[in-house]
Amino acid sequence: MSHISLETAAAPVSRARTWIRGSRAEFLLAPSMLYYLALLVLPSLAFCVVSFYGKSDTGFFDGVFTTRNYVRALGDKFYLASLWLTLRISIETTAACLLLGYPAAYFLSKIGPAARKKLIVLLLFPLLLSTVIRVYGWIALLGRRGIVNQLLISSGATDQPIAMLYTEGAVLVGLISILLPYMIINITNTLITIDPSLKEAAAIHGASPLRVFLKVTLPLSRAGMVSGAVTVFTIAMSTYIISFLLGGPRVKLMGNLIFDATASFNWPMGAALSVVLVLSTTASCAVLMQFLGKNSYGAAR
Amino acid sequence: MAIVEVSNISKQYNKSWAVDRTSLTIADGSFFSLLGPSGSGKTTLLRLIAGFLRPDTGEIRIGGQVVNDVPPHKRNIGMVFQQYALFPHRTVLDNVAFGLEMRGSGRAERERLAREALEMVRMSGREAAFPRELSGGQQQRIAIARSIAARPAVWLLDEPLSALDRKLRVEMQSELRSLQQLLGITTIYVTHDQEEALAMSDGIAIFRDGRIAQQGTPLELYERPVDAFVADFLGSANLLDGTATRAPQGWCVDIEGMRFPLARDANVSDREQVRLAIRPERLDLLRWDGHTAGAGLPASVESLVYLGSDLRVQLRTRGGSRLIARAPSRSDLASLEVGHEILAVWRPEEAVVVAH
Repeated sequence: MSHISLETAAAPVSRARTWIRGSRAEFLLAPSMLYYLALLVLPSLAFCVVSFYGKSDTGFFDGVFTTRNYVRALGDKFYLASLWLTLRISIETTAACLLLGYPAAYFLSKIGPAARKKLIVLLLFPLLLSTVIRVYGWIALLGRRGIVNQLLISSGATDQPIAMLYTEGAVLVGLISILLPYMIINITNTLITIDPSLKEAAAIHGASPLRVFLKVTLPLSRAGMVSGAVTVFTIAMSTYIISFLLGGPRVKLMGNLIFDATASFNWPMGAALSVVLVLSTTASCAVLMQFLGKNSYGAAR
Repeated sequence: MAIVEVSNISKQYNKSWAVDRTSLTIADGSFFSLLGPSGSGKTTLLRLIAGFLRPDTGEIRIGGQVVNDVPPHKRNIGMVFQQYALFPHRTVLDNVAFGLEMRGSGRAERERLAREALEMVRMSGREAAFPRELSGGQQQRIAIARSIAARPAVWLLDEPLSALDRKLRVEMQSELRSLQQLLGITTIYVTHDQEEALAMSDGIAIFRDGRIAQQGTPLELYERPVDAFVADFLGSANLLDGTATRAPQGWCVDIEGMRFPLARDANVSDREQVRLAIRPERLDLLRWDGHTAGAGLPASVESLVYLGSDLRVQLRTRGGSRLIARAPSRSDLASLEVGHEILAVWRPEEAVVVAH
């Protein structure tokens, strides 16, 4: 939120913007709002309703109100462990993307706009490939007979193949490799909006390069870190295919359990797990935003 | 406090010299302006002194110490930026205290000095505000307070008033000047506004194409410009071409068939083509019938512009030169009309021989 308001704060409100803000602006929202209402809000509400029914052997649900699904989702050790694992892997992914992405974003913000454009295209290039194909690449690398194990064995570093695939670590590596570009782009976009004269002002008034970074660049890029972290975290929380292919039967995230529930025709249980996942993702993001950036630097005048 | 010396400094940008073998000495505690059109190198020189740029040749000394290899944060400089450059994530008090914080002052000490600086710019009471909650003029004052709070040795100002409206600008000029005198701080002020430079400075350097065209006190520059560029950039000037002649009573100049005496200290040679610069307000106009011979340059009135306090008269000489005269609007020139024939006259010492 502070991301947008920061950039536009200094500019005087133009006539055009006033008009867009005015009463007629709602019409511009109508098409997308209708789309979301029909295809997101209504189905989600239906989900919530279904999650309070029991399962049916013949239909989608039995139509009898029950809280049994939620009691299981939040009381059963199996489901709780999965929720905790999902949260933990998502937090780890977000933290790793922040640590790996910030230096890269800082570099991108330092170079000229032409070179930056080229490198960002390169960065986005993998996103053109299907996640499934990219994850299969990791399987080829990390499998028992994968490239990494073959290298290790032929170099004599180990005589037994190391089990890298179907571990939490493999899922983490896969998630980071796929989500890192989102973090880099979010942070870069914020870094390049920082007025260079702010850094000069800090330097001339006694800040060493390190303190210019800590006192000016880092706090002013918080908005980019928040938007990057929220993007990475939410995608990681709802991941399904990456954990399915790289985690196998041992690393079951919420997405995989929802799939398992629906695959066994227990639609109400799947719905309840989905509601739990959405609510825990939302709550975590709220905490994340509190933690990383709540300052809007004063109200607009 | 410190003397600032720049010797033989050059800085190249994209194969052209933004600053070209420039030397300058700014006396301890003086207010010095770098004046020139945009792209003339004045801002580049300021950034070289600040340490944001490294010179390609030459030396910069602050307080006698060569600072070429000293990074900006160790130069003990305070600076006001053109667009204020306040930290948006810090309150007014934390902005002003920034320099003190970086220099390692304790919390109580830096709050005391920051409040003191805010008082000097008459912004007490807004300590807790964020920059975006303030008007442009208020932000400007905070930027000024931030630049002086740590009492630096040198004060740099990069066109600080250019974003303000005229009335506020004039008000801030005198405030900046009295603040500078109160602190006794060596000040370098970049501006493209000649009025501003004249009003505030002890010394001015006029820049043109990366070099200093002339430097001196405001009075020297205005009364004795070395060339047409300086004469026209600082105020405005009528330029008249003529031929220097030795006459019994001293040096004279022939302009459009009329002979005018030159100032006694004029440095010319016989038959030399010279150019005279005469300020519009130093040109006197005499009523003339258009026929009888008189001691003045014959011209006719082309237009009259009423400027409130002043009247601006545009003239065309018989030889085709265009002249501008300026006089208080309540003088007897007020009765002039377009088409009137007049004689333009000036005192010899008001006509400065300038380089072509």
